[in-house]
Amino acid sequence: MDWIYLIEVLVGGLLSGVMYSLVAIGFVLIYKSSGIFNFAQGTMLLFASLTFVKMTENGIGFWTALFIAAGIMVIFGVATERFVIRPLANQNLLALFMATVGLATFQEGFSQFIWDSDVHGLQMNKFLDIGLLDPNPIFMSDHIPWLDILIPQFDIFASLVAGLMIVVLAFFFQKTKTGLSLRAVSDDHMAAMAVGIPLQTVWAVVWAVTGIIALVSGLLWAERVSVSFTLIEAVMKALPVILIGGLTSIPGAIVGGLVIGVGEKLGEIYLADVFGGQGIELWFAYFMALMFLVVRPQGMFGEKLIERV
Amino acid sequence: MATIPGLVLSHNQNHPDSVALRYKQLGIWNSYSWKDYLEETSTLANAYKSISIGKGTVVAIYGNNVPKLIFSIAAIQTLGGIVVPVHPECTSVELKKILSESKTEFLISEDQQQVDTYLDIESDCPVKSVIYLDGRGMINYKNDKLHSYDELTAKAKSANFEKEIQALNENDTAFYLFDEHEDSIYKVTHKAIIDNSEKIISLNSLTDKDSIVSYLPLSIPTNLLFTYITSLSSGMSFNLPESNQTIEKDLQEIGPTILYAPSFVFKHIITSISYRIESASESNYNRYMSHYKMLMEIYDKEVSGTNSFFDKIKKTWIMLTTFLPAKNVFGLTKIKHAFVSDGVLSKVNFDFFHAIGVEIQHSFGQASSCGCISVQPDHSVSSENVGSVMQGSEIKVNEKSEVCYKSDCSAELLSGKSNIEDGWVNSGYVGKIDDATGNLVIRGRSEDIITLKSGKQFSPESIENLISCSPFVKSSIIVGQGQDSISVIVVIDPNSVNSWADRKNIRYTGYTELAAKQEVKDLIKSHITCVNETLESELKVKSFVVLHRTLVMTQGEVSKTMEVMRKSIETNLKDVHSAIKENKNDFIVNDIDQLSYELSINKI
Amino acid sequence: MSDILKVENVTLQFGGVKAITDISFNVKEGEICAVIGPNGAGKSSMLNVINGVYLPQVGTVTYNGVTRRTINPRDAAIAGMARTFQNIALFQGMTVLENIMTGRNLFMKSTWLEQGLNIGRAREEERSNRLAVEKVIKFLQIESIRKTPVAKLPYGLQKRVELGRALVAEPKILLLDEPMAGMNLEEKADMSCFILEINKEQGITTVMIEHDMGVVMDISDHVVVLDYGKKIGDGSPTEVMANQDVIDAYLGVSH
Repeated sequence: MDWIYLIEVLVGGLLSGVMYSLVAIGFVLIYKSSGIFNFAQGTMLLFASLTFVKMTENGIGFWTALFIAAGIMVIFGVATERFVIRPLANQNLLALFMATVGLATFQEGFSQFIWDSDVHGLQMNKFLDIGLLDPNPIFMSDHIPWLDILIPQFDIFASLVAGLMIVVLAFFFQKTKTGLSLRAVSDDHMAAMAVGIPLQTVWAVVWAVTGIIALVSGLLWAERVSVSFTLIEAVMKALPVILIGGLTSIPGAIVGGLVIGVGEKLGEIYLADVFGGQGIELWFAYFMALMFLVVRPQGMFGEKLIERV
Repeated sequence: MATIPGLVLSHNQNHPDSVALRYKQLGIWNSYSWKDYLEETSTLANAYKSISIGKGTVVAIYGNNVPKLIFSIAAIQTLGGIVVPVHPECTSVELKKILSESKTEFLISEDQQQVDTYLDIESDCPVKSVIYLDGRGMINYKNDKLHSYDELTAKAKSANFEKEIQALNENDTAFYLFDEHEDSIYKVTHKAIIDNSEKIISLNSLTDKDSIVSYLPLSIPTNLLFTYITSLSSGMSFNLPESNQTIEKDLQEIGPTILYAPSFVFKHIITSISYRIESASESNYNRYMSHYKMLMEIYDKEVSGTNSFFDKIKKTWIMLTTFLPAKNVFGLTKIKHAFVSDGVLSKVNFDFFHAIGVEIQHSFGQASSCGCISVQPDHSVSSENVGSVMQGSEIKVNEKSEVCYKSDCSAELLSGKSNIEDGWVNSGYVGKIDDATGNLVIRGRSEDIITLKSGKQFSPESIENLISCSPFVKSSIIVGQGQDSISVIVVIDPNSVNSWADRKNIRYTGYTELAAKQEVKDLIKSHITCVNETLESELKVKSFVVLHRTLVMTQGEVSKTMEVMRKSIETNLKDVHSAIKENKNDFIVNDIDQLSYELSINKI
Repeated sequence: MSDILKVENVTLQFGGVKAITDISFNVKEGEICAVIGPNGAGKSSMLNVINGVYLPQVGTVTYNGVTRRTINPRDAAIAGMARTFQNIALFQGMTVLENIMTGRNLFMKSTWLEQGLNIGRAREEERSNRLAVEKVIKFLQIESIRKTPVAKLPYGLQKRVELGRALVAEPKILLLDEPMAGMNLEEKADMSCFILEINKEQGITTVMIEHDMGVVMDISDHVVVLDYGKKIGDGSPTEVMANQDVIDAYLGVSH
């Protein structure tokens, strides 16, 4: 086995894994705080990146567009809590899940209504003068002499951004009052209310943060696949990540993402022939997750009881 | 002139900003430099002066090691007063004796527990005023003698006591120390105890860069010498834990270089490791056991100097994976010297600590010898002796095998039975001096010597040490005076036996039920059988009783250093003793809690 | 002393089942009021009505001079009510310190940005909240388990941590739901001391549901007895013990 090639595959897998992790964290945050599996996660990505792209197409600068899109996602998150989640509080979880299905449908229609349903390309190197945005891969041996591997530069950029985002989130949830409140709410609603934690505010913050995660991960994915409905499918890649990492664990989402990223690449290269050639990447992640669930039904770091979904 | 306040003063002149004392309060380590230390004691001295504590006034400090009590020592002595350290868990009988025979006028006590013990015996002692540090729970106490420390010190201002300190005489009494085994009180001068600490410092090259954690009350004479006085003499930092329950974590955080503890503390560490291992997963358990075996094999080779290069690598590996983490849990990582008093470690435990790099040094000392008469040097390999006599002292064994000594650092008797014989101080312990090395070996207290019916004499401590060596045994009491054979009362260790029972799926609701389980008796029986193999035939243990409860310090059943106190046990558990004498099988104990328990004598 | 809490004609039913029927009682400021009764007597429901978890069909609760039929539990907390739960409701994923810190939630006024960057008010606030938490930790003598995840603690200690979380909120009134359930004698004695000290030395009014009659008689100033959702006794411990209905209920005489 060519070990340099293996390293190339592993690094490539880890880099795309970070992006899976980021999307998975969006699911985990909402599930942890309110016990809802958010079906609308995919459409949030689409809506966020479409909003951004349309603004740039209409001549608004990159940073301004990013800022406004983030603002819209925050408003959207707060509104979701106020008008969808809050009225349904104390209802059963199926009702809440169905509400997010409705939310997804609404978002899909709404984005087509105010923007359009065309396929948009996103080329960030048009806006940002960063070497890493160059579409050509780089040879690592130019920088690290003994490491003779080829890596797409954008993957490095994307995982840097995603990684930074994860660090900021971790800091936010460990070091701030809102973070402490979120962890309290995710453990025990009743007790959280009794110590005076405002449940609604925490939910609103979580939805707003999820909106921002959707924007960032949406843009990173869009650069790879384009801004269109294929984005929603990309998000579906995050499902096996959650199956492996557990719905209740942020470290689980991170590790799960990396496992899927690496596993997928390894499968593509070493197992594709066994399983009949091309197209293995479409289902191999799910296959891995299934195998994993047989061994450990609660996921890697998840809590033992999964009674809510 | 070396006096305790004088030492504080000179550290303030020599290195005012280095750390003198650290203590943890409300989760945060606070530190006092020598400058702060002098400032605190001077302010406190001013406050104590205002209630007319002065030259020769006897003041008891009654509590755990909290900064307010620690500063009080030097403050009281600055005024020429005499400090009587009293153990916070002492019995009311002891307290009454100490306070009345030392003519204590002021009692500075920590909290409600101590004040309550005092109130039990209030009418029998000459105390004029009680100053309490923590008024919690005492809101309804109406007693004119009780005063709050905070109120007393609130208005106190700092003052310069330099002149007064320099005028102190080093031959004046600094402490009155109580010896609970002899039931007598000794007068300890500044010079005697400071000189004694200087000997320890120079023998072991301790410096002001070292640090020590003091977590036992200073009423224990050895502890007073090895922690408080030694840190003051050398200028090393003196660290106080947050509470008695947090010691392990506090040791971890401080990482002291010097450790002092009575032998029971080291036994406790072994027991804690053992029950952690018992409750660990199967694979961790097996790994620990095999690493332990390897470690001890390599240690034996190290001692004989036959360890190979491969052994060194193996040792590094097992230290890194198993024993360094264990050392860290107990805060032993940086320990250079670990002084042990009040008993010796068994060979197995002694070797284990040396193998993991904790230099255990046995010592022997009492109130009468200002805390220490002999100490083992660094890198000692024998667990049996307590080292050779320190410079300036002489030692001999009299015709009754009792250890007697002369020392330039000894204390004069204040009250109690005289122990002077022809100019020699009788320590009350039996032992021998190894002719080849001059090392002192302590066998036990002379009044504890048991004579069997056959006339055979022996010291019960030596057999008790072997039995208590098991992590499942907390303490044991040998019974056999005037009898045909030896019996033992065994007190099981709740923590390790609990986790052992959990592992074996034995169900129980509490200590009493657990102690009565046949499985536990079998466990103890197999251990005693092992011990018997090492004993000569006349001294083999023939029967044992597993006691239904642990021994209680506040009932005087164990000493402050956890040695068994035979007299109290014989009184409190007389039913057990008489059942052993009468050779019964099952019997009823009427215990001091007014309840009855059914126990049985198990034959081996 | 004035009444800090007045429960008037409260009736609560779930579907067709009446949990509480027409109950009224008053709690004086500064007292320890125990609510006792056999299992299923409606004690926990009563506490849940007081802090707004349940909405009673009939009746009002007057707290601090404000009369209302229900309150949001968060508003109850803001108004100075802190409580513990029958089946310990600690945040299992957090340490003891973090759990008690959540009780300071209402004292955290700085924004998340200030907290994240540890500037401005956040720094001072962090210090004062940590100090308050540490004082409670010292008071309850749980220094050694400060950093331990609560899920690893035995039941008795978890109850103590839960009391700490309620106490650190500096409440006017403490609602304790079976603070001594499942404890051994020694733990009960400790808990009784804590409750007494909180009440006598910090002057916090305490309403407590408890099964252990010995404890109730020892430490409470005022006892309310419920049975099958109805009040059958109300008065000082000695009065209540002399009440024939109470004796019947406790000795199990048929109704």
